[in-house]
Amino acid sequence: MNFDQLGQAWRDENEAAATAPQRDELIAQTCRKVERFWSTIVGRDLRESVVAIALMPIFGWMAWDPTNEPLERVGAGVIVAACGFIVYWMHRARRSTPPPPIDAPLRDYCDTELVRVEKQIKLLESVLVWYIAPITGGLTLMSFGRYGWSLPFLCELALYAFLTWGLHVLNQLAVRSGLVPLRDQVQALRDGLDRTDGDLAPPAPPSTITPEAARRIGWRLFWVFLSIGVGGIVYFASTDIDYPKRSPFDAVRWRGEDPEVRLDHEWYELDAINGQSVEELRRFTRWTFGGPRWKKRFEEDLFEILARKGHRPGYRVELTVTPVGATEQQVLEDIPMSEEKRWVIYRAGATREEAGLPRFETTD
Amino acid sequence: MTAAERQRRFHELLDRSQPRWVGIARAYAQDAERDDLLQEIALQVWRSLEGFRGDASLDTWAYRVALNTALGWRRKAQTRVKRITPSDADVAELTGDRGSETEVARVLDRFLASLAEADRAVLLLHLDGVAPPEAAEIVGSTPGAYRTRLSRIRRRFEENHQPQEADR
Repeated sequence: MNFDQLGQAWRDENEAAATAPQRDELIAQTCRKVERFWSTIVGRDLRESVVAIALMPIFGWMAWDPTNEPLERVGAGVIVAACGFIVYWMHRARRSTPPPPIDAPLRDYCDTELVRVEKQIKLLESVLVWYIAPITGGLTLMSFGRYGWSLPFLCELALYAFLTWGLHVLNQLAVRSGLVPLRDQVQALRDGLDRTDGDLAPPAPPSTITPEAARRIGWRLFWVFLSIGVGGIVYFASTDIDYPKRSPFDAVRWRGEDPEVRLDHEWYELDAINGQSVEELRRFTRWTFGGPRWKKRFEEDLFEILARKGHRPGYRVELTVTPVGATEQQVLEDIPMSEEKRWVIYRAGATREEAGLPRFETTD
Repeated sequence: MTAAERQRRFHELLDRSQPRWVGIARAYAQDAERDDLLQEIALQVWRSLEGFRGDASLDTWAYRVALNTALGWRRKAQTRVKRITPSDADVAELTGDRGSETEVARVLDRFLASLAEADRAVLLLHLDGVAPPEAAEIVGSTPGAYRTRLSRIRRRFEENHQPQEADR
């Protein structure tokens, strides 16, 4: 078989394959695709920004809302700023890395494409810094502002850390399975065009991770995320017990962080309930429910606090108290816990809040 | 360029270049995807026509667009479906059952598929009868470098296929 015969055979076969119906179909399809092209571009731009833009008013409202804790508002503000920055950064990255001119000589095309792919690799490799960290940082601040150093905060922190890690891994996978092989191929093509010594151009180097492997890892991560999500929902659903809403107090007010309770028109400093000291209960409530609103929990969910601490009360409790202004401690036995009393406490707090006053009554 | 002028040029180009585009699609796409690549080439030529400045002939310019589109499309297809390397299995896929009908063309398809992308582009230009200066311009090298590369491809082809001929 003669090398010089090949050209004619090649052209003959392609001439035969290039039929008139194919030509007409090409024209028709091209017209249709040109119409769709711009809507695709607009759709892509919109998709990239729509999530960030949608989040901005939500977190903006949280940052503005004066009823939120200061640190919570700062965290929400960080997220708003991060969303704005992400939209700007993605827009800037897209504009600074336009695709190479399709009508350039092959070598120039490869050079431009290499620069573009390198920039995209750097963008994805640094996604932790410009995308994930500002968002999860803001969420962590919000969580700390809401719960303080407590179990809910640690749970959320663990979730954010896992999400950060997972998103980072997925992006690195995308780099290693998609962009790095792409860069290597373009580089091999470019080197092949420049090659003046030796034999023919070698094929592009094998990628370190194949798209199939990346897809497998991606799916595994997805199942891990899903398992944690479903597991979390099942766990919280199973622990979300509807505890009775009962209280032994007629009213509660606060001297700093010490509760004072009213029983039959008499105010007492509360020292212990069923042998559980107030100090222990305060520490447990803060750790379990977290945040500055632990007092609300203490006032309204006393039954749940005692039950979750392993001292489930009955319909009556024993209170250790000291009358306000006195020094001698008293033990009051068989004090009834009732739903009526608890709802009175709840309504008092809600009424104060509706009137723009602090939720908790204090002795100040 | 007016819309009517653009359309006229596109139709002219299609009349002249359709077989070349078919050949490029044949060289860079698997059998089942050739129509898609051909369509993509036509679309990119249409879109790029507005930017045609007349620095080169329209046919040379269109060849560059078609070749760059095929290379870009192939890379995207690799990440979409699977990595394609010039292994025996992939050569078989690339040539396909419904591919070439003659023995010469079948050999040619297999040989094309066994080449690296840069060499495949050079061989394609030769097969399409593009003159060396014009071909060198399309790949962005000098005519001398283009001829050297082509002669190496020719040597490799002859090394691989002459013995088979002698056996027969």
